[in-house]
Amino acid sequence: MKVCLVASSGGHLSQLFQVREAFQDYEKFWVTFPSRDAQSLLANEEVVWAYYPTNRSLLNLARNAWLAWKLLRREKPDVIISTGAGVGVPFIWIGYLLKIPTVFIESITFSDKRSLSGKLVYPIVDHYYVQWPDLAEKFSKALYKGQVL
Amino acid sequence: MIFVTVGTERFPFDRLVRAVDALSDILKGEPVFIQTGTGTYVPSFPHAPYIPFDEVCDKIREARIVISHAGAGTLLMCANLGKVPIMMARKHSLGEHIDDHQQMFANRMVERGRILLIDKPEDLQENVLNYEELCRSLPKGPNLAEASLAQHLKEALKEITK
Repeated sequence: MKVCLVASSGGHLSQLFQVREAFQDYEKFWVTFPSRDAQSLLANEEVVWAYYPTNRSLLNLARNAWLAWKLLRREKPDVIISTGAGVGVPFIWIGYLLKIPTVFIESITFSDKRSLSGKLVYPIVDHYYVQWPDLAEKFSKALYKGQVL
Repeated sequence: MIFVTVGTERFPFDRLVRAVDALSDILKGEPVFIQTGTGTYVPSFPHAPYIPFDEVCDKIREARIVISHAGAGTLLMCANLGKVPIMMARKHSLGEHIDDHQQMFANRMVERGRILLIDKPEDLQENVLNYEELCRSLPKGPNLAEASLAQHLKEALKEITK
C-alpha cells in the first residue's frame, strides 16, 4: 500500500508525524514545505516540497493543485492523509476527483470550530476526524477517535 | 536555562520577546535563549531568528522553563519531552497570526493541565517567579481526551485500503 501524507510545516506536520505509527509500515511520500522542522523530521523520508505560503494565497493554491494533479496521477497512492492546513485542500480535492480515498484530520488547535481548510474539504473528504468530542457533535460527518497527544 | 520560542510561523511575535526582555533583572544569573522568528525587536538576551530543529529539541530538553507562543508544534515537542511551557497566544488583531485559533487551543490545554497560560505580557513575571509551584498545582484535566488517534488510524487504514 502507498500512502500520500500532506501537511503544512509547523504544528500540522508535527501532528501528522506524531501519528506515524499508523502508516510507518507502508510505502509513503510526504508533501510539505521546505522548512527547518520538515527537513529535520523527514530527513530519511521521501518528500515533495509544495508551494508556500498557502495562507489565503490563490496563486499557491493553484500551483499546489497543479502539483497534486501531476503527483497523484504519477504516484497513484492508495490513500491521502492530511492534517491541513491550506496545502491539504488541493490534494484532498484532486484525490476526490481521482477516486483516491481521503482522510483529513483537523488540527488539535481547532476545538470549538472547524479550520478553513477543514471546511473546504468537508463536503467531499471520505474520513473527517476532529480531536475534540464536542466538536464532533456539531458536524454529522466528524469523527472523534482521540487526539494525537 | 530559560528557552523562549515563537515557532516557525511567518508572522512576528515581538510582544512575547519584549515581555521576556522586560524580566532581564529577575533573570540575572540564569542563561536565557530567545528564538525570535520574523520579529524585529532585538532583545538583550542571546537570540537568533531560527535555530536547527535538533537544537530546538535540545534546548527544550535542557530548559528549566520553556516560554512560547501557543502553537501545537511547540506543545507537542514540550509534551513529548515532559515539559510544561508557559504560553501566550498569538492574536489575529495584532497581526500575530492568521486567526485566533491559538487562543482557542491554549484555553483547552490549560483545562488539561498541559500549559501555564498568560493572557498578557505583564502576567509573565508571576509565572516565571512561581513556576515550580504553579506546575505542582496544575489541574488534572478531564479524561475525555486520549492519545488514541494513531492506533485508531492504524486500524482504519487497513479497512480503507482493503
